[in-house]
Amino acid sequence: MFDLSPLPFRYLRWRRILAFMTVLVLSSILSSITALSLISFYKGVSAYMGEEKCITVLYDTKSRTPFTGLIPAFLADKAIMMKEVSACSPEVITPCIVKGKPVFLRGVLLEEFLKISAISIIDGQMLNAGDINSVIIGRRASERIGVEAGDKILVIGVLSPVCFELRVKGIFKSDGPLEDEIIAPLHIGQWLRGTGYNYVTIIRVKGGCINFQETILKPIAEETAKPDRPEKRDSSGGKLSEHVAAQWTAIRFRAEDIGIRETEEFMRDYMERYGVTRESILILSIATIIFSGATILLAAETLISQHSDEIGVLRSIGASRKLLKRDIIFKLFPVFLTATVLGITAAIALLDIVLERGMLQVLFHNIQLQVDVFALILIASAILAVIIVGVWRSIR
Amino acid sequence: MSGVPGESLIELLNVSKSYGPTQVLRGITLKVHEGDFIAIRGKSGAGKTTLLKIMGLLEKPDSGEVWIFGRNANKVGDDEMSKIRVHYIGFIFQFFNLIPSLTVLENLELPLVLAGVNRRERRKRALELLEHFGLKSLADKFPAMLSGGERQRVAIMRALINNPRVILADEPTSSLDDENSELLMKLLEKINEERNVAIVLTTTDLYEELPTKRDYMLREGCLIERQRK
Repeated sequence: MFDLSPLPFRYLRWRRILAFMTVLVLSSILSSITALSLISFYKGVSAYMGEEKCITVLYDTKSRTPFTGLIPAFLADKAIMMKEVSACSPEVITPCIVKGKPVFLRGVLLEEFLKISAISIIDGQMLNAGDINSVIIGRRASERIGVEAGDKILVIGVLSPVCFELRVKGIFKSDGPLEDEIIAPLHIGQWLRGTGYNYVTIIRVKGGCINFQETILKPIAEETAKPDRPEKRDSSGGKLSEHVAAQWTAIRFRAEDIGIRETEEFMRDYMERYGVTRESILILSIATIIFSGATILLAAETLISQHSDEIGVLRSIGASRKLLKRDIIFKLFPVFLTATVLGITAAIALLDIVLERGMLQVLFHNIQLQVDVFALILIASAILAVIIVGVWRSIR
Repeated sequence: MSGVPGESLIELLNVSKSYGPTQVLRGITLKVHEGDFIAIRGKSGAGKTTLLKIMGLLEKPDSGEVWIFGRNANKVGDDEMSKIRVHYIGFIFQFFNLIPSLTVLENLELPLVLAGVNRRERRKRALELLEHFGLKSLADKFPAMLSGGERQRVAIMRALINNPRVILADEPTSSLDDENSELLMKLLEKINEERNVAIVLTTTDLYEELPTKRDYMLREGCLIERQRK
């Protein structure tokens, strides 16, 4: 093999290098699995509502989860009227039981929903405006529950004592966690959630980044809160409410109860409530990397001490410490490269199997593998740095 | 003691060395001249290897001065020390210390690699040396395939290949049988006479008759010159 190291002969023993390489492979598997699973979890949850910028979520600040709040639906009509807004999707997200298995159902106005979330039908047909008792179901949810396009399913509400027989019109795939959900017309979501037609869980708005708090919520809240104003009016008279089962009415609300966040911030906000912050993830990763680093350092020092005779001979015949350090680092570089590539590949393959089989879920949503190249480069650089430090420290 | 420090090949002035609480060398003073043949006798753990390592710039003393080829070792960095070792000093160890993954020929070439000699020249000089010592048949063998005597002769050849001015031999006969020990001593004597190479060797044998010119005893960290009969 062509040797670029300063001392073009082999004095490091292959078996010892193999043992060192095994430690490197295992350490890089451990570091990569920790980093990638945490990143996948964090990114997956953050991107749950959509990955694009300038998708804003209107939500109930009093709710403890992203799925349990309620806000007035007529706000969607107000939002869509703004010229900067290109799509506005009122959605009801509710847990339910199908074939004895828990699954999230999302009631939507399909036309608006599709402007924000990209899904494509892989079996059967897409829902259309005339469908009242049909749903489409995500690929992973369909596999997990065991349903196919054309099947009839009994959907039992968890938050309200209702159940429906619905027809599965199609199976869809998406790039995100939507594959774990059932998409239904908005009114089905509202029934299963046990709320009236005038409420939704969230409203997702796509368009220029607008200050909704100032431009919409405050004026509307002030208007609806006037004492001489009747509690309810017949209709919000908006363009969206023309497509729903019953026209939305303008309900009294407090502007401060409606949260407005970009999608990623919205989910991060909820994660932080449960202590899952970027920092906590970083600390977990660092702890693993420190453990792996210590192992690699020890392995590098052991490798050098195993070769103390050879190093002693080379020193006695005129090799300087600096030359030996450089030479050993050169000789270990291909070992590092091979071990790291093997370790990272094995980690990705393992995680892919684990995640694809749905063994890592958050609220019945599969975590999808996110291969963060930057994180992997960081891990590989850290491993190389530890090897260099280990070799440098050991040759004295 | 006379002369200016640095006149000899190697000169130790009041050198002391401790490992933790154990003082191994106490104020050692020794000069190695051109063509010298010196024996340093002492029991195991007496500090013979440490003394040789200090002479060969592999270790630094705690106190005292080491002058080597006119240079004060205290003022020379590791790179410079390594160059001195490559060009002027040959080492022979008790356990032969050949690199097991390299053939005899490659082991012989090692010092030449460090001296920056090109590949063709390295091979030529290594083969010439093997031929000179009648060991050309061993060229492609690995150390594990050699007898103890053969390994030590290869180690001596490696120490000689850069034409050093001093050979430091640390108990070179202790792993050999009597016959091979005698052969080795004759070989070292021949090298000393023919090439005028100074040799400092250590041995645990306190009474054996050696072909050396000066004889020292290392006891309790002190070097005592023994009068020759």
